[in-house]
Amino acid sequence: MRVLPLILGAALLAQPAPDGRRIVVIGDLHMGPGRDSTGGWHAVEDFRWHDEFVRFLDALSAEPVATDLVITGDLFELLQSPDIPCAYANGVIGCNEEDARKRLYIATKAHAGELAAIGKYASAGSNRAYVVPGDHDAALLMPNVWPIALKAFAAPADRVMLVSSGPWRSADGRVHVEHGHQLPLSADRFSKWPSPFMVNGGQTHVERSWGEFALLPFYDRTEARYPIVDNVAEEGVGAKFVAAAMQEPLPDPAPMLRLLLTKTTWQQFRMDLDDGEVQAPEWDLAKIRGDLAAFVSTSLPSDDPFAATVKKLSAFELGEAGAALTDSQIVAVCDYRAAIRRARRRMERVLTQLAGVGPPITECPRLADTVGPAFEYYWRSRDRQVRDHIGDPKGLDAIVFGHTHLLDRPYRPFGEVGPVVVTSGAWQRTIHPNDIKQIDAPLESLPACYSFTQIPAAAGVRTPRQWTWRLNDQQQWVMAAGGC
Amino acid sequence: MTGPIRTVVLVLLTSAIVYGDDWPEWRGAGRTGVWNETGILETFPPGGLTVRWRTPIHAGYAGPSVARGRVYLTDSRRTVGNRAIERALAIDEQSGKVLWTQEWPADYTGLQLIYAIGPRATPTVDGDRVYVLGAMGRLLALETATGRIAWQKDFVREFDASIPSWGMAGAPLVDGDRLIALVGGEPNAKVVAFNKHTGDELWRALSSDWEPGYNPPTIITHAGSRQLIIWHPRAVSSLDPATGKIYWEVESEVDMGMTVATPVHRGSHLLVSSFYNGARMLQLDNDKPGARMLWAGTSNSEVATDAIHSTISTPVIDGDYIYGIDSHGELRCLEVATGKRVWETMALVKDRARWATAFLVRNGDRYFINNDRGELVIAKLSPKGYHEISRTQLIEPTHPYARRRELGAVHWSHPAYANKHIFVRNDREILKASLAKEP
Repeated sequence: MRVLPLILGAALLAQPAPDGRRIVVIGDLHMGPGRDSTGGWHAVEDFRWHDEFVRFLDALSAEPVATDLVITGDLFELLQSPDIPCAYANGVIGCNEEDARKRLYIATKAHAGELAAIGKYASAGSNRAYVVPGDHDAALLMPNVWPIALKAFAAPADRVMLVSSGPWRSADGRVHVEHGHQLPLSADRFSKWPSPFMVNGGQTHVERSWGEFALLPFYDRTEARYPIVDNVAEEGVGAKFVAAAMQEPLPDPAPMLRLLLTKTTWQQFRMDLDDGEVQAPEWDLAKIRGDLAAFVSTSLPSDDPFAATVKKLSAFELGEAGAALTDSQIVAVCDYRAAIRRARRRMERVLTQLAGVGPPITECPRLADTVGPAFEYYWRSRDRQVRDHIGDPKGLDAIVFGHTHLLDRPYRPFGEVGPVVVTSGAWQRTIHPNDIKQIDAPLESLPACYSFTQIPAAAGVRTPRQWTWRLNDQQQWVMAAGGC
Repeated sequence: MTGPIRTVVLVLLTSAIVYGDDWPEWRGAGRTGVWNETGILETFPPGGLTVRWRTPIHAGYAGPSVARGRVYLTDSRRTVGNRAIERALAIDEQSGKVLWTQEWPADYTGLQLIYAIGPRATPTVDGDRVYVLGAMGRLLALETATGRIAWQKDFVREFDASIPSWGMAGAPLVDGDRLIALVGGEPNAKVVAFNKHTGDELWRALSSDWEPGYNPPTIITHAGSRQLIIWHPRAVSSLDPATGKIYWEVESEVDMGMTVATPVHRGSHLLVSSFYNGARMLQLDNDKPGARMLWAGTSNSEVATDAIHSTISTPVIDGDYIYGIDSHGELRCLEVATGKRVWETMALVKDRARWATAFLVRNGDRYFINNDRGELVIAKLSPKGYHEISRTQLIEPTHPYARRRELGAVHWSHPAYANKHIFVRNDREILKASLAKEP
């Protein structure tokens, strides 16, 4: 009898404990001002899912596995507020610290239950929660702003932590998580990260990215009428549908057009038959810059919801949008056009973004010596921006981004032996463009399906997998692998 | 017997002995998949087929053609990386000896490389010329006697074609003095007719806003007209083969451009079938060139299929019934009038696997079928069921396969049936085996 416990004990001791803890990545909740004085939701409040969220954390708790809960940016919505305008004489700056504190305070009061639930989860066992700032809650990096959130979590400071250094890395060094707004091609990049600040009149303000300028005023103007404008995945694409529905001309289309051109959603490409052997073409940038209006006007397929808006623009406006694009952005647009062109030419069944196959799209002009089947690698821009941003991926198995709200297809920008990149979607209700029936539909009509990423505890290679929290056919909340 | 008469008799006898029933192009003369010879064995010998000769060759899918005492084939060998040397060969039909070869370079970069092993298109033989097509769009007109290049075309360089993922596969078609080829040239040279003697372009037709697909051009005669049928990923198109003028088109999108199986014409029916989108049965107008959709499969899923979802294999229409291979190797019988399934069996291909396939050739009231396990089967197909008469191993499967199969590799090459023999190739050899009924 004494031998058996010894044997069992030895067996337990003999099993190595995994070095890597379980990692659950959620993001883009955009907790905002909550309800207004009438008890109804503020138009800009996107996080209306307290019950589902608490259930989700309870379900995670049911698995007693030491977990790092990583919130990969935009936990809070600090760029939109009905009560704190953050409007200053200098129109190009964002909130100062005091106004940012006020916005955050309102959000923490409106979402006290959800934040306490995070704090409770993070305090259990040896769990931890890490808050990675995104572009919508970059103000958390201001020294006197984060303590407001910390108080709302009601957890010890070593249980819920702000990742003020930028990206989060797992203790075993194998997993890298960040919001994704700092990728080189992103319209929402800050010039300095993680110090996205500028000083004006002796006060520190959050910088405003050009993407924010292009889109947020439009959201502010339209979200009451079109509540899901910022819930279309990929985030930003909803503006196309609203602009088409509005039928009145956009007051300043060039920045929005520039932004929408750079929304390159790679998820829509179902398969990659290149086998990695092909090279990228070289686009004739000189020829493109010689007629930017033509380049811009042909860069969206004719079935794109923004195409009708583009058609109404003058050559000057088109040229203005094109002139603001960097060479890298032009190359990215051209790569994307070529990928769409090929997918449409071969009737490639697309997953989400496009309504099946569509009308043809032209390629950008190529340099003559990069014509032919050997030069049909169109994922170059997608891969290069990650490689340039991450640098040496040594030791990494997985890179997880949020920001786009889209569960994009995993890919390996460093090659087959390098880390895999996954996007974590959004712990939010989102809708694919193909599924939009009415762009003015209420937010609550969107599918109750929230995406996240799980990386199981492991002693070796860390493998991320995309999951959703959703209702099954029996109307029970479940975690399911895959997308919505 | 006097001299001149002796000469004539000798020539006639020689003609009868040497030429017999040739197989000069994809699926035989007329591209119908019908083999009309008689005196063919009823069952296979217990010890397997009698192999007359085996000749080493390089890799490829392209089946052989047989004409006037010669066997024509194309193959490929890799040199460095994705670069290869493609080749046309003429082999003596009696001895298996290689008579001549003609080579040209190819670079398979841009294809899905696991399948980038060599040419796909069966050579087309016409008189003293054989027309061959490489996987990357090199079309060559060769003299059958010597292999000398009479003329050649490069679809990419000369027609701005983009090579689709699985290479150029549509065997060119001879029609009178025309050679009609699926080119995929942009913007409007999806199909091009060349003067078969000189290579001069005679006409071009159809937009290349969409890929060309993989289908060999075929000609049917219906409603008093000869109609060139081009099945491409956007539609089934009928053209006047003399001018390229479009007679009619029936729109039908085919995912991934997989228009592989040859359209099947019988009476006033024209059937096409693809892996993802299934079958479309057209009703041809009997008075003038025209067509409408009679019925269409309802499924766009290669997993939950409807009617028939052919990958590579071309179905057959026999009386009021269709017989064909579905997406995972199921042999099915359907009603011509409605597409309704009558029966299904896995007995032909055995292991249920994506893209599992077989090639059906009718001989009399039965079918010779070579499956992708490298077996040859004689069977009768009727609405009552699949009746297997005999089965034998034909050739070793060597073609790559992206997933797991029981035998590791597959055999995706269409044989030639000629002069009471079968000619079949894999990536290593071509063999000739007897199908003659023993006296």
